[in-house]
Amino acid sequence: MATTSLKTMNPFLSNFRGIVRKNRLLMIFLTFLSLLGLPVLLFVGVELRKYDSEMSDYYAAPNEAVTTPQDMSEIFQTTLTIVSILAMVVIVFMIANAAIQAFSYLLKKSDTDLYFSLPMNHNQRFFSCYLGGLTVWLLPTLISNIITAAVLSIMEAPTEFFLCLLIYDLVALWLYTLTVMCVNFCGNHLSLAFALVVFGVLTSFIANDASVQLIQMQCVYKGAFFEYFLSHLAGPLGPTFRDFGFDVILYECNRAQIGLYCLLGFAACIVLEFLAAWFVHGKRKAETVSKPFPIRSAYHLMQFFTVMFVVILFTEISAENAVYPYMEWERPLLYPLLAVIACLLILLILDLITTRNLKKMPRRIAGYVLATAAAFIVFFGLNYTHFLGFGDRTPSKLGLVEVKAEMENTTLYLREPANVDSINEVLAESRKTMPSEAALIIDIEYNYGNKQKFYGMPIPNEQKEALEQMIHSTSNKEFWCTMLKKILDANNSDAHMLQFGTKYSPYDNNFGYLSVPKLSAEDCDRLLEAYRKDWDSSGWTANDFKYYEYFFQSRVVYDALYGEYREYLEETMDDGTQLWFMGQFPGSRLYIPEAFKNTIAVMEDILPVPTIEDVFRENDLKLIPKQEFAFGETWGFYREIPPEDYIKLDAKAFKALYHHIHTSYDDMGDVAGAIPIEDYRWLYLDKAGDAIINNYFKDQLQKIYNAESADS
Amino acid sequence: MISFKQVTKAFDGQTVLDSISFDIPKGSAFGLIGSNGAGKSTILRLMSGVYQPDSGEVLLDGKPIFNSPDNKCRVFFVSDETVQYHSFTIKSLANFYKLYYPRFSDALLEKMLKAVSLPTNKPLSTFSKGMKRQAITMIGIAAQPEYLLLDEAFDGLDPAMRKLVRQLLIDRMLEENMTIIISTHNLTEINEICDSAALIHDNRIIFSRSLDDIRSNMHKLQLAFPTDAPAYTKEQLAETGTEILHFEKQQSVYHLVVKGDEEELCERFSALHPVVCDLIPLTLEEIFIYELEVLGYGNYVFENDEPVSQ
Repeated sequence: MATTSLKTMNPFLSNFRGIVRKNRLLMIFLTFLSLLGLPVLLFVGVELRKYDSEMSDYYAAPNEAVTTPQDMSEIFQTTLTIVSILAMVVIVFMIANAAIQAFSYLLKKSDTDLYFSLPMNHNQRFFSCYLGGLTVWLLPTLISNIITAAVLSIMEAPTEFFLCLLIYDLVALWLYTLTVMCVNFCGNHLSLAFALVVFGVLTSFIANDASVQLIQMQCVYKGAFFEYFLSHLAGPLGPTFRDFGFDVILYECNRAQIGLYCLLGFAACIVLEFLAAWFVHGKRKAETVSKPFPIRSAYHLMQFFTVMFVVILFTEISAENAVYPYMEWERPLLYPLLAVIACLLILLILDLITTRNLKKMPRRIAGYVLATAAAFIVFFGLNYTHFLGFGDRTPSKLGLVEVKAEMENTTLYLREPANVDSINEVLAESRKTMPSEAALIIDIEYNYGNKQKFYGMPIPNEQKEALEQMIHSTSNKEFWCTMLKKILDANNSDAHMLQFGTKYSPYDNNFGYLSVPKLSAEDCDRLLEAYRKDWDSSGWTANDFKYYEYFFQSRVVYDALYGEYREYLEETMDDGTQLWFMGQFPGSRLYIPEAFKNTIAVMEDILPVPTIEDVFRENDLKLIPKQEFAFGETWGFYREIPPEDYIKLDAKAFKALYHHIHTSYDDMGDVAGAIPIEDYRWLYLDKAGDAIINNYFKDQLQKIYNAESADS
Repeated sequence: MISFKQVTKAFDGQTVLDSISFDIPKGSAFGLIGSNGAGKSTILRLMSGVYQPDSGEVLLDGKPIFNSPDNKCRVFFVSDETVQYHSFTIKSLANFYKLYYPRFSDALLEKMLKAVSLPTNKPLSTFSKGMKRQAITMIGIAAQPEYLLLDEAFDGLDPAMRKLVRQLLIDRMLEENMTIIISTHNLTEINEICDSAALIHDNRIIFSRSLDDIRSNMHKLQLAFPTDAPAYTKEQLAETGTEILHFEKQQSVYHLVVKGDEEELCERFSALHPVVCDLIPLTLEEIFIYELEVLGYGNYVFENDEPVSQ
C-alpha cells in the first residue's frame, strides 16, 4: 500500500504557494527589472544632485585646473536613465501581468475545471490569488526598495528620494489592484484592456476633472480635501496628467495636510478597488469564464464612464472655458451629438469585437442609450445644481482670520468682519448672475489660521462696487503698506535684492525686472509715504488694479529653496503672521497701479536705472537681438554653454549687468531666469540647475555687494 | 453519498438539467450515460463544485459541495478537457495537486507510472491524447479522493491501457472504498466497471439504478406463431400489460424489446400459445439504444438527404 500523507491542508496557503510557484519565473524577471529600474533611476537622480554640487565647486574655483564633471557624467547618466526608464515601463506591464496570471482562471475557459474544482471557497480563492500575485511583484519590489534605501542612505540623498519609494510602491499597488478588479469584471483579454482604460484612465480623468471644476467653481469647501483627496480617489493618473499628482505627494509631503490627503486619497482608491474586486469575485461563476463583460452592471458602469469622459472631452473642446460649473457649449446641439456618436461608435465596435455576435446588439444599444442618458443626467445635474449644492455653501465667520482676494495683479487682505459679510454677499450674488462675460475674476481664499482654506468664486463685474469698498478698507491698506515696508527692509539684507518692473511683460522688452541698489532710509520713507497717500486717495477703482504701471518685488538672491531663507525671515521679520506669505512666495510682489501717481513719481525719481543699451555700450558688450530669446524653447539649455562663457564675464561687466538679471521664481522657490551675455547669448538660470547658478551668482553678487559697501 | 435533489441548471437561459434527483452511494462505481449534450459533464461539474446549481441541492453526505473546501477536498474531478494541463509536467501537476489534496500519494503515483512508462518531466502538451488521459487519471487516483469523477476517462486509450486503467480503478475501489463516477459514451466501460448507472436525456434522468436491475428489467423477446395463427399488432401485444419498447414482425415471427420481470413475461406471452417464446438478455448498449429510441432519440432514417423520424 502506498504511503499517504495525512496532514491537513490549508487551502488558502496551498493556493498562495501554488500561485507563487507558478509565477516564479515572472518573479525572477521582475526582481531583475526592479533592481534595474527604481534604484538606478534614483541613483541617477542623486548623482545629478552631486553633479550640480560639483559644478558649483568648479565655478567657485575657476582658475584651478579641475576636470569638468559634466563630461564623465552625461553619458553615464543618459544611458542609465534610459535603461532604468525602459525597465520601469516593462515593470508596469509585468505588475499588471502578475494580476492577470494570479486570476487567469477567470479569463481562460480551459482552466475553469482545474481551478474551480480545487478545494477552496470564494474567499480563500480570492485572497490567496490576490496575495499570491501581490507577492510575485511585491517581493522583488521590496528587495529593490531595501537596496535603494541603503544606497540612498549611503549617498545621503534628500528625503524626497525616499518618498519616491513610497509613491512607487503605492502606484504599483494601485495598478495591481486595479488590474485584479478589472480581471474580475471581465471575461477576456480585450474586455480587460477596455476596463483598464476605463477604470484606470477615464475615471481618473473624470474624478480629477470634477475635483478641478469644483475648485474652479470656487465653492466654499475644504480646498485641500477636494483638491488632493478626491482627485486621487480614482487613481493617480488624472492628477498626474494635470501636473499636481506625484509632484504634490513628493514635494508637499512635509506639509502634513496636503501630502496626507494625497496619500489617503490614493489609499482609499486602492481599498475601493480591492473591495470591488472581492465583491465581484464572489459573483463570478465558472460558466461565465471567457465571456466578455460577464458582470453586466460593471459593463454598464464602463459605458457610463466612457460616455462621461467623451462628453467632458467634447465640452472642453467646444469651449475653452467650458467646464462643469460654467459650461458653455459653443454649439449646443452639435457637440453633444458628436460626443454621443463618438461613444456609440467606440462601444459598438468594442461590443462587436468582443462578442462577435450581432444578435444581442439591440440589447447592447439599449444599454448604451441608458448609459448615455445617465451620463448626461449626472453631467448636467452636477452642473446645474452646483455639485448638489456644495458650490453654494457660505463660509463660516467663526475662526476666520482673514479673507484674501486675488485679482489679476494684486491681492486684497480683508480682516474686518464687515468685509467678510460683504464678500459673502458678493459670493451669493455672483452665483445668481453667473456666467457673465464681463467677469472680473477674483479668487477668494478664506484663511482660518489652522491651514484650512476655503475658496470663493469669481466675481462678476457687476459686483465691483462692493469690491471697491473692500479694497479701500483700512485693513487692506495697512496690509500693503506694511508689506512695502517689509520688502524695503528685506532689501537691507544681503539675502535679498529689490527689483522692480514695468507693466510690460519682461519677455517682451527682453530685460524686464530690474534689480535696484539698496535704497537709502530717506528714499524708503518717501516711497512709503507716497504709497500710503495713494491708498488714502479715492481717485481709483477696482478696475485700476487690473492694470499696473510698476511692481516691486523682493528676491532671494541665493538659496532659493527656502530653508535658509525661512531662517533668515524668522530672524529678521518681527511680524510672524506674515511669515507664511513670504515663505511661500520668496519673490513677494507688490503692484503699483497706474492710479498711484504719487508712488510712481517717487519711484521714477529714486530709481534712475540706465537702459540695457547703455550698459552694453559702456561695457563693450553686444546687444542681444530680441528674437534670440525664445522662452520655453531654450529653457534649461544652459548646459550647452561652455563653462568659459561664465568666466569671461568679469566683475565689471557683471556689475553692470547686475541690474538686468532677469529672473523669476516658481511656487516651489526654485529660481529660473537669464541674463544677457556676449555673443548674442543668454546665460540661463535653470530651475533644475539652481544650485550651480545660484552659487555662482551668490559669489559674484557678494563681490559686488562688498564692493558697493566699501564704496559707500 | 452524493445526492442530487431537484437540481436545475441553465446556461444562457437554456435549461441543461431540469429538476433532476438521484443518489450515488459511497463505494459504488456509477456510470453516467446519455446522449450528446444531455448534461453528463454538467452533472460532474456540479458534483465537483465547479458549478453552483440554479436551484435544488448537490449534497455530499448531506452537506452542499459548492463553495465548501471540506467537501471538495473529498472529490477529484478529471475533466474531459486536457488543454489546461498542457503547461504542466506529470511531476509539476502532481506537485500542484499535492498542495490541495492532503492524501496525495507520491508512492502510488510512482507505482502506477512505472506500469505505463510515462515521462514525468515532459510537458503534457507533448503527450498524445491517450497519454494525457492516462497521466491525469493516475494523478486523480494518486490524490486518493473519496470520490473520483472521470469525464470521458477512457477516451483515446488503447485497449491495453483501458484494461490497465480499469484495473487500477477497481483496485482503488477495493482497497480504499473509493467511489468512482464515470461519464462516458462507451458502454463497455460502464458494463465492466460500474455497478449502477443513470441514463440522462433531454435534461432529465431517465433511470438511475443498479446495472443488474437495468439488465433484468429489459429483454429481447422472440415469439413465433403457427402460420395459420392470427397476426398480432404492437397494441394487441401490449394489451397483455407489457411495456414494449421495440416491435418488429417478420411473417409469423415477432422480435420485441420489452420491460418487465423474466418469469412474468414468459407467463404472459405463453398464454398466446406461441411455437417459440425465447427471452434473450440485452447488452447495456442495446438497452441504451432502445430506451432512447422510445424517447425519439436517434430514431431517424435519411430520405432524400433529410432526416426523417421513424
